Amino acid sequence: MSHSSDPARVLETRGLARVEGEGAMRVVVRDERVTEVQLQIYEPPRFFEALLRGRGYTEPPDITARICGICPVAYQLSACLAIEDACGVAVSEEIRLLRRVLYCGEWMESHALHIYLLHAPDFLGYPSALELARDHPDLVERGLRLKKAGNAILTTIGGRAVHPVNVKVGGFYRFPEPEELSALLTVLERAREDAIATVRLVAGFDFPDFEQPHEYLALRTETGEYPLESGHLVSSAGRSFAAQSFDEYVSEHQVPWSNALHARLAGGLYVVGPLARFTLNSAGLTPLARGAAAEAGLGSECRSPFRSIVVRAVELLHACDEAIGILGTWCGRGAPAVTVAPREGTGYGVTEAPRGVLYHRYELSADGTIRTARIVPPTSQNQASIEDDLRSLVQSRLHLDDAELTHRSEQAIRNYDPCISCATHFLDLTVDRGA
Amino acid sequence: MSRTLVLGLGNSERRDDGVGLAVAARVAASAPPGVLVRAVRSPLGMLDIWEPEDTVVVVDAVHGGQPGSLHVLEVTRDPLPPQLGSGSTHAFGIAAVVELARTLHRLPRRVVLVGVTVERVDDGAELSPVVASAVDEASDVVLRAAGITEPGARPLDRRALPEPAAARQEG
Repeated sequence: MSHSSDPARVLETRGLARVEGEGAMRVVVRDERVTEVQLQIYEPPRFFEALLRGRGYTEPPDITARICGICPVAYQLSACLAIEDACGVAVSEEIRLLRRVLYCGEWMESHALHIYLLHAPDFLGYPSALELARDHPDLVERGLRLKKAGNAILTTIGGRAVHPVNVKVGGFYRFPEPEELSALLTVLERAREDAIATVRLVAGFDFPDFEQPHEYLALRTETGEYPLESGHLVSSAGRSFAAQSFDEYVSEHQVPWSNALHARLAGGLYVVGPLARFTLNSAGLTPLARGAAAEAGLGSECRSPFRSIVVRAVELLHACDEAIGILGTWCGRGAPAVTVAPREGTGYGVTEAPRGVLYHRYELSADGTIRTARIVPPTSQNQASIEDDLRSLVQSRLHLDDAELTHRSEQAIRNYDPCISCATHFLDLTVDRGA
Repeated sequence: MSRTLVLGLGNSERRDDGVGLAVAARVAASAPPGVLVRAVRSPLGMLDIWEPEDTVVVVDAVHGGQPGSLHVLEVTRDPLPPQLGSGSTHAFGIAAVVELARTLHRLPRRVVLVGVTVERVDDGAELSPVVASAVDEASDVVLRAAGITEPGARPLDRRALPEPAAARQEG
């Protein structure tokens, strides 16, 4: 953090902590007005889009899983959905349900990590999880238990905790054995108690008075289930469209300060992720999660980015509860995968990654060679809205000193749990404001 | 039960950031049965695997020094430099995870870090030649640090071992 000698006041943080990776941000204030906000993001998906061209149609789940160590399942399942769409194939119900359970594991792990190790320190007044662990080891232990329980799902069903190898186009290489699922259920039942305690913990945090009007975009399922592995897109402005129309509604624009593309929904700012999913789909939560949300004070919509930690906790509980519910009756009687034969065409896949809508599109030739690929990750969709939050937040809190304003800005970025493993590389924070 | 773990960290799509995975794959091809070798994308994943009674060797890409040079740190007793790992793509660097484990009394009885200095960490799956050429020696260092081979033992015959790129499927 530093002050410049020009008429601008400068706040600078080299390396923003507690986001998944690193990036850069710059805020300029002149004459008590925020004139410029820049979030700089580096985007490996662009590299992967190029890498996928010319590869075989069965390869995207394995290749794209390497984009992100936090959400490999999201990349795999969006890829599977898009390839299966291109090839005109639908998977069986038992495969679909097992995919949901696998995805629940990823949500649990990702949300537990963010809530306890990255975001809770902001609300409890600690610079990091390490200091939090010194004073409240029980809290951090609970977060680690929840993360490990999510990991247990990934290991049991996905075959490996990082980059699950059991997922393939058409389903799975093998279904888990009943005894494996029985052991998993025992782990999840304990995790559910931890998840309930998590909602109660974060509901008691103090939240700044700050709301934003952004349009929310999330999947909605035909079955009424909370959105995860399939569905069509709906928005808080009343839009409703299929994955096939994603490119018509969502456009991407280059901005000079970032090599990431900024996404716009019908030309406007929008938000994907927990706040959007909850506001558009809270009726699809399990009764336990819905009850916890009500107890935590969440209404039918949540407009406060800072309360995203509460929504994330509710989703953590939902994911655990739904996984238990599915596994209680699931049995793999059929084939673990359906046959997917290549054909010429274009396929579209959208799933709900922990951070929000993740879009894949593949154009295949008749022999299954990938002609083009497009991947739109959630963090690049939220990027412009994060900048808008920072603009509003800094403008309304110019009376704060530099350190406090920098801290609030960092916290505002963390509200979105930006997945910089798949969206940015180095994140430095600079606030430059008129003296 | 006391175990010996070798944990490879990194991202194989960020060139030299994947060197820890390449070394772990080499170790997996030559380590005796009973030695658990795992690829871990995020240092926090180590907390899901290790137990206090384990001996753990962590191998990862590091900055500093000549590209391809090796660094061995006994981290069990002394705090690591906090910046270690903070320049990587990991949200929690190794130092933060080790200190978190120490605070929570979850640190294994012995943790050794074997670091390989990177040359480049941009997009791409191939290791730089200078870093790739350090993989064999690094895996020998890991095996010695894990107590699998005696200090000063002859390097293993590598001719029968798989190429790192194929073995990287482990990660």
